[in-house]
Amino acid sequence: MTVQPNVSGKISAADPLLSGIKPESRDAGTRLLLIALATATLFHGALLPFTHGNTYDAFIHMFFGDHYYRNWFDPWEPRWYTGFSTTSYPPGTHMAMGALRHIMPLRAAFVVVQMVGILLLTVGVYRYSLLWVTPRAAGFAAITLTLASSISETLHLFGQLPTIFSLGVFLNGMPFVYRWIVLGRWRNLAGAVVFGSATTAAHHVTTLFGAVLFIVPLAFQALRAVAELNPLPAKSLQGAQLRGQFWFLWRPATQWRRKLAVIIRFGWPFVRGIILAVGIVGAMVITIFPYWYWSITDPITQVPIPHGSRESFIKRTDLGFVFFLLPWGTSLLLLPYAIYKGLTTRLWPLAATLVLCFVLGTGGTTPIPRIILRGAFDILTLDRFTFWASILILPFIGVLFDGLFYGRSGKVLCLALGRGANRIVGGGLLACYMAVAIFCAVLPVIRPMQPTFIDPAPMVSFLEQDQHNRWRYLTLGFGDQFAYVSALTTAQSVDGNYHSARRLPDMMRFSVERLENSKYLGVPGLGSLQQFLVNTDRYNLKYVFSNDEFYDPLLVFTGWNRLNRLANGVVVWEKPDVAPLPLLQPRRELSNGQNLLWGLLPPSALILAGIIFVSSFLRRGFSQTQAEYRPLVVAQDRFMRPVLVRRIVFSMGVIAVLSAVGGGTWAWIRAQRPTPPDQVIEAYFNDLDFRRYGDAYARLDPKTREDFETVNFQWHWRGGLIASYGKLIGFRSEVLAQTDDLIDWRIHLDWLTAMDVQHQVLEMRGVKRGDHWFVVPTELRPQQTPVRMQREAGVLWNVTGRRQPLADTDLHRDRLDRPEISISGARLVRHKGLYSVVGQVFNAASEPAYLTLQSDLRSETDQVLANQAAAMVNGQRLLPAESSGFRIAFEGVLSLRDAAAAAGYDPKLFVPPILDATPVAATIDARALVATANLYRGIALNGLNFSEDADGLKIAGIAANVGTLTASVIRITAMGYDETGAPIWVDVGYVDSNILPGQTAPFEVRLPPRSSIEVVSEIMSKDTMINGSGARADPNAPQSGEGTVRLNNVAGYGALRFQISSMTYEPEF
Amino acid sequence: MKSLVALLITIISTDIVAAEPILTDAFGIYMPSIEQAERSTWAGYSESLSDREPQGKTTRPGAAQDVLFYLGPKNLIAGGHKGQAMTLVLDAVGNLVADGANVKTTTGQTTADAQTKSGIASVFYLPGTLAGQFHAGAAVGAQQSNRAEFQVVPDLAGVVPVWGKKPVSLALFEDYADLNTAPLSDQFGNEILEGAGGQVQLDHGNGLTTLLPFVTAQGVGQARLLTRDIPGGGQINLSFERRTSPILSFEIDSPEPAGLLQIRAMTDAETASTRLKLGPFLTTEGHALNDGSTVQVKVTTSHGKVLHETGWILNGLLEVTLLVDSQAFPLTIEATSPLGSSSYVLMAPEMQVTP
Repeated sequence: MTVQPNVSGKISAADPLLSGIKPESRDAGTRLLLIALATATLFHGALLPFTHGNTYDAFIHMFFGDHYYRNWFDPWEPRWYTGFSTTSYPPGTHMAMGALRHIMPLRAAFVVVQMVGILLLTVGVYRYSLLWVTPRAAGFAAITLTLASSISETLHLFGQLPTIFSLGVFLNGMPFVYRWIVLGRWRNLAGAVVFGSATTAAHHVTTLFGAVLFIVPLAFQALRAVAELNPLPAKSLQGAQLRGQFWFLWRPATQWRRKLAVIIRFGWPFVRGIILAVGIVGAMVITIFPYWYWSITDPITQVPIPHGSRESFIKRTDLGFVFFLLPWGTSLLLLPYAIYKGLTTRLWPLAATLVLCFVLGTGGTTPIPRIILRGAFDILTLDRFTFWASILILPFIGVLFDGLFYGRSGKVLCLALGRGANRIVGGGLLACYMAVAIFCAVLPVIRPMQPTFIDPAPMVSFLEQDQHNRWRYLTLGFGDQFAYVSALTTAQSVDGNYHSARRLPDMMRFSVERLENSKYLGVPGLGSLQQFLVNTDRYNLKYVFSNDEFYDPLLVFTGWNRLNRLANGVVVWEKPDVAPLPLLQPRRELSNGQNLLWGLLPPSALILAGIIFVSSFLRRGFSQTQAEYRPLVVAQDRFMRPVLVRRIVFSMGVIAVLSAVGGGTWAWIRAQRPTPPDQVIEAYFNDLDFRRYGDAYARLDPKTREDFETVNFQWHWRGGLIASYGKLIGFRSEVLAQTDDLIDWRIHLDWLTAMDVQHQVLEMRGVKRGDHWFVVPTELRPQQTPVRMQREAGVLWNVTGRRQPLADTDLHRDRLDRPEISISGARLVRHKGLYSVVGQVFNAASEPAYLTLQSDLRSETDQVLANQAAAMVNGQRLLPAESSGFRIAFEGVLSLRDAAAAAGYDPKLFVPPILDATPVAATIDARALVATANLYRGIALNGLNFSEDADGLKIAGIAANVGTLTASVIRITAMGYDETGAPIWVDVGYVDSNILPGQTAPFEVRLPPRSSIEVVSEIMSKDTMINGSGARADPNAPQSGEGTVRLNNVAGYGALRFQISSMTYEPEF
Repeated sequence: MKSLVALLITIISTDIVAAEPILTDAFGIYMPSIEQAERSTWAGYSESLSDREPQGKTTRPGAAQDVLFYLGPKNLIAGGHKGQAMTLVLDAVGNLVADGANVKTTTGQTTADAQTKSGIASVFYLPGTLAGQFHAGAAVGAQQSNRAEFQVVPDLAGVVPVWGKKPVSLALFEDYADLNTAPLSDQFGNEILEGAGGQVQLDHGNGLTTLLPFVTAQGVGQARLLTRDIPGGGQINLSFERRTSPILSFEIDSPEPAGLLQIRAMTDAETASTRLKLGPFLTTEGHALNDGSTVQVKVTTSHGKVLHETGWILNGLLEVTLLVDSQAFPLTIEATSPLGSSSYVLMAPEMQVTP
């Protein structure tokens, strides 16, 4: 049974609701929609080709698009995370790009699909608004959409293609939903289901939440329409509000006939609503069935990735700006109006949903979103609720503009403030919209959030040359452009840019979104990265493309060699002695049926929706209101009190002026207030950290400071680990002496570097000039290099390898022997609950050796509990006859969840790995290759002194560069022998600053007290593999008394062996 | 694939199987009509299977045509373990030649004969005691292999570190001192190769030690000491692998002070501080103390307050600012520089600056 309206196809002039819609309003709706489409095309279409490269997500979607270009029916994608299934994300928009990729470049395909999405959304908003308001108001809603900051942000800042596209599809399906509930007719149901299916094909979350946020209020609107189009015969209920009719059902059991009439009247629409729900859910399941299958069979066990939209926007105002204030933009000012209209008109269901979205969009600012969303709170990105709110408010804003330009509010404004006042207000609002939208679009230019565009061609070319794609690669400092590089090559990366799909345990344990930006998550992030840089064999990782010098020290001291700088400025790093990818790699197979479903259903749904969209347009057009629509028509005869309006406007103007003057005065007074000295010194170091040299210079004592150029020279003279590669993460000042006008501090600075946190202690002075404190400039030590021209006989090596005019890829004669190395005195030890393998490695060959050291922890039953490669506590590259200590630390890395559990973030905190049993033994696998790089031996250690304190052995001295190269970062490896003459602990220290030839710098290395280290077991020769074969004891390996510094039981140590290695080039900052 | 399909067809169509003979050899079963012609040239025993009586045939490999030569290790330690040279001999179509073919192997200056077995001839060779680069190869009759190389390297375990000449017993202060070894060689007299690493250790005698790495170039280990920021001389020795050199005495020629140190003070009433200017730091070397030399200043005020300041000399002078005003005079000033320590009493500031 279907309910027939009492009008069919034509608007009845007698209808109290529709009679307010004048013919010119209907025509204006069409015109305004066309203006909106033109605005969208001109504004966003002109910007998109230039802005999408700076967005967060655009390249990720391009990568997926490229996947379907290469393999439409094979969802397995090996290029990220050692392989993942693309069934983990609905493929609609990606397939559209993949199809277009056959006729245009990938980036152009993205722009085209995105433009289709925004145009669809413009029409969709118009059609959805038309279900609530008059055509002219709907037209204004569409125009407002094109100027909305949320759209601008989503397009030009976030690059969220599926969000825009799917909502566009979804909203265009809403008229079918409405008509199905009101009128019935199976074709309406079919249309609604097909659009639901097409929406799901593009983005399932839109269908899921859209059903609640867009369809539920629309269902109420439809029920109201049913009531209005089919009035009850009983007089008592005629004209009653919808709510009244529902209340009536709950009254005592009288008037049962009338009750039955109400039930019959709403029963069928209600049943149709249920049928629709079943249909849409069914479409959701079937359209992307492989996705649901993947979700169930491979559930996400990923540690939640922090997202700014879940933070408190009061505490993190920067995030509040990006995820709340910016997407709301000008609409936030109009929210009270929308709520007012919701409370007083038939738009209340829409307003209720709007308020719900507003609340959920506030993230962690209040506990309400967490209470509503429960577990989903930590998975969802809540800014999407703000986005949906910014769409839901559009019908209200359409009404507002309609009223301002053509309605009662405009007339009142004109009467109150003079002719044209309504246009000034309306135009001003539109100008505000435009200004905020443009601001969003150009924000990445004002404050770049991505690295400058990196030409991917040199990297793609490198990976395709000389079979470099037989190994995996990693990018560092690329931002989201990493996805674009991936899309252009068939080479594989251990990293990826879609964290929901990753399945590598080493990545899932950490709350690091990507390895490539791991520095932004401090030690947990860098620890995660280090696991991959060190355990390269596990991942067949051989190449790193680095666009961020911050990681250089980490790469050098985890054994990576710098190959060369590509034409785009990116530096290529190579790890020697890594096995290539196996020819057959593991992959997760889907059934052919699922592959076919995935390859056919989503695009079919989109194509079908497109056909319905076009045929619907041809049949009835979509700019006109329909007979069954029951829009809000604002009465034109209420509230005509211009005097009151004038008073209110003037009062508000006065308040605004007073607020501005008061606020400005307050800000000026605040700015003039002298800053306390401790804040001055902290601000000084913050300025230096952020390279705000002008601001830092302004904080120096104006009476004693040199000119800016001189001071700037002094700041830049010293580079190295802290100055060039450090990020200030901790500041503490300690007052040593103070007078009224002078203050002496001891400053404690914690610098996050790629390796660890470096602690620096400085003594500084502040001086008061007038009312303000300044920092007394420090002076450089004017050390003199002893000679002006230094000569030195050096050694250079060349390993020919394949660099010969022969096409053969591998010849036996070009291969070098692996250098003969030996391991001696190796032990499994435990310190502070962490297991480590320590020992001495000796290069007995006549060639420099590049070392790869790995160890297995073993249980009593000889089960392998953990495998780990030596990281930074390792000589790595030894000259012939050199020996060094090494320590393979079996460490876990603090995840953010652990940090939260520990009620604080301590970047130095390491956690032990999770082991299945107690380790009782360990084995070592050592390999060597001939090394020719990073063998600088120009650093001497002057005046080493050894002292003991509660923390153990402190080794301090002066590092002197007596060679001819600049040592950017210097690592000092100290191996301590115990009373038996066997290695017991190895640790490293780094020199804070770089050292130019002839210059010196202090350093410090610490070893824990011998008493705190427990020897678990000795590692015998039989448990050691050297170059793939069993090891023998080497009688030539130096012992504890040979080439060592002997100690008289300082902190329990009997002797120390030192090895010094350096990174010897200047970073280009 | 083509042959596999044909074979499948053959198996399915039994009539054809009956009609065509099938050959078997050490490498499998094949049909003469569809296999490549070279197959029939492979050496070994082949048997023909057909509806007639099975017939066998042995094909002998041809004469040696390709001589492939491998040896390893490519680096041998002088007087050390032996190496192995292996020759793989093939006929024109890739068959391993018949056993017993004579292979003449040349490794450096020595030659050795060996007979092939399964196409391979193997000889072991000793590296000898002479280090250097050597060539190697093999010949079978008139056929020769490509050239191969191997290296005999000095025995690092036999290298004794020795000072080349008596090291500079009196190095200049704040200068480089080159500390070179004698040409280092193993027990056979082979000079050590470039790039080996050792260490110079200078024990200052007061618990302080200086370590200098040395790297060999042209047989000589070269270390360099920067005589700045180190606590004087001491006992010095070399170490290389397990061996160490005799210990020698080593001194640094520190400069002596010349004349009295001048001290001037200037108080700043605005900040209630005193600027001290010390110097010039004159030396007996005929020049002021070098820029960057560290000076530690200990100041005791008239109230007994003790202040410590550290600074560096620039143009022979040191300037430091103290957090004391003119009321703190007289000041007792103790300056410690590479010239030694000296103490002074400053009764009053020379100049007072008012804002």
